[in-house]
Amino acid sequence: MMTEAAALDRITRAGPFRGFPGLLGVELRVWFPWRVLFLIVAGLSVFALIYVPWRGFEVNQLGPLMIWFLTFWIMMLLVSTVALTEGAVLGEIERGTASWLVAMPIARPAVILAKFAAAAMGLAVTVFVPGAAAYPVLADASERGITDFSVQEVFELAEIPIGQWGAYTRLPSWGTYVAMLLSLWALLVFVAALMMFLGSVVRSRTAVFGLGLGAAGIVFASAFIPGLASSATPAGIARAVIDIAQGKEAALMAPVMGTLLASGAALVLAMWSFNRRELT
Amino acid sequence: MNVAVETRGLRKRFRRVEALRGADFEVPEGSVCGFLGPNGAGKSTTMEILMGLIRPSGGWASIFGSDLGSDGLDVRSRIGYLPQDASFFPRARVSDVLRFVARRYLTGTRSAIENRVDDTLELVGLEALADRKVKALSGGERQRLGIGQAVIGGPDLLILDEPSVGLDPEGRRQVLDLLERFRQEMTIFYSSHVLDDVERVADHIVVIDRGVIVEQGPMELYLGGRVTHRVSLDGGDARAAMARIERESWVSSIRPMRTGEWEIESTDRQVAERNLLRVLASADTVRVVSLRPMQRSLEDVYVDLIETADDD
Repeated sequence: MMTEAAALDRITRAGPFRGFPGLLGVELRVWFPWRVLFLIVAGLSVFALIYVPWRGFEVNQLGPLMIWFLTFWIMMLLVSTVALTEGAVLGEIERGTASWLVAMPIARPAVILAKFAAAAMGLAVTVFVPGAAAYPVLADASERGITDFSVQEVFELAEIPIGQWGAYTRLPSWGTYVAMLLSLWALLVFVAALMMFLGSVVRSRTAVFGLGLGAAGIVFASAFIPGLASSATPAGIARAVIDIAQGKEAALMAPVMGTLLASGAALVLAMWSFNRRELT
Repeated sequence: MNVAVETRGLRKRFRRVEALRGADFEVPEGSVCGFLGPNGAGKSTTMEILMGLIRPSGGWASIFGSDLGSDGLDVRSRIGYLPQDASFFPRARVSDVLRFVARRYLTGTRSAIENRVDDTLELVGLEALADRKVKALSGGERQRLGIGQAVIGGPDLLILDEPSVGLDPEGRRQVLDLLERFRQEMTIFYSSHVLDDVERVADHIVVIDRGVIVEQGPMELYLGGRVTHRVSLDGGDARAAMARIERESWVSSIRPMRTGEWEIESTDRQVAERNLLRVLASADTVRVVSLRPMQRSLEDVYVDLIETADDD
């Protein structure tokens, strides 16, 4: 029945990630281009929604612009990450696609890893494109804040520490800004890994969504809890990003490393539980 | 006899429901094996265990002599599977699904893969729908795609869970035609409720009821060898005549019908037809009014088996 049977050989190699490249291709098509485009547009829209009134009311201080943009953008990204990954595993189990896939010679961990890798790549673009696009505008805002209102002089006269309430904020250097975006990406990657884990163990999509949203909310809120804010956890990243937005120094390395380790742990647990999960 | 599928003491419990209660069966290599049983008998559960989708609560199963646990990927490289409610990537095109599956099983040049995809599209009659999205396919087209993706990797064993379910007569006929074409190339193990279809293509059956295998063997054992005759007698002592018949070695059972006829089941059709009338004629007290061979269908066999199992 087959015309080129001789030119094809059966794949015999095994391994815990057999099938990963093909699955990654499928999962990348889930994220690119439409999801990523949507998140980029949403990110730029958040920035525009903050920036336009900022210009209109002639606030002309970098602090409010940075704080409001980053706060709303991070919240939007966290909610979007939860919403877009809640059905990644459980949705496919419910539809029957997961059982169809793993009935093929595809290693189960490869299914989870491909979904995670595609989400991580998609989130990287959705963080860096709007983030990078916003930087020149922030730089321009920084100039306005100093020259139009001489806010720095006012604060120095009042002996108020610069940047305390974000009224005057130094523009972070490009390097610091990129490091901040990288940290934000690590935070989203953690949420994505957590969603993979929840999807592998929980049996209700509503529960997965609720737990994911709750976890993201706790991470964000923990940034304001003194003990957790300085910890090597995702909460530490959220705190560090807020600090940078306020023109303060922030230690990124420890929370980023801690978050990446936590992401790895969540991912390993997700692969382990999916490997054991019965797919009926 | 080489065995493609073998299970021993296979058990599966879903909380309070015991879906399989020690299923033992074999599927001979090269056979087309119909897997029969009422709803909830354990057919899909058995197939899901064979595919490694669920774990047995006890017992074991092997495919081509390999353990499903330790050699899962290797074994699955030799199996094509169509689940009962097959779900593929809904937004993908038909050819994309086949290409994806082909690349999971086979390695070769791009053109060789494309040729295999084209051949499979033609084989299952979907060449005109190659660029159609999966979600836009009808039930029959989706089922043909399911069969196409199951065979595109050139499996040694094809496991199909209710491949004809929900299809119109034309769709069923197309599925049967496909199975006829594949029988030379691979072992086929498929479940079905449509007994006429099984009778047409299967050469081996396994019957399961309430998680237990109630019968298994070559089809001719149930249809080819055994035959039932209906005899109508007049006058004399019919019971004595039947008692004489019952002593013959080739008779397996005799039962009276409500119509006054007698149903005689024999193990060998030829021997029965050669001797039945002679033995009856030798009983001088009765007159044979009619003698009719009744061809037993798979449905008759199936109903008998299930009823017997229920009585037990």
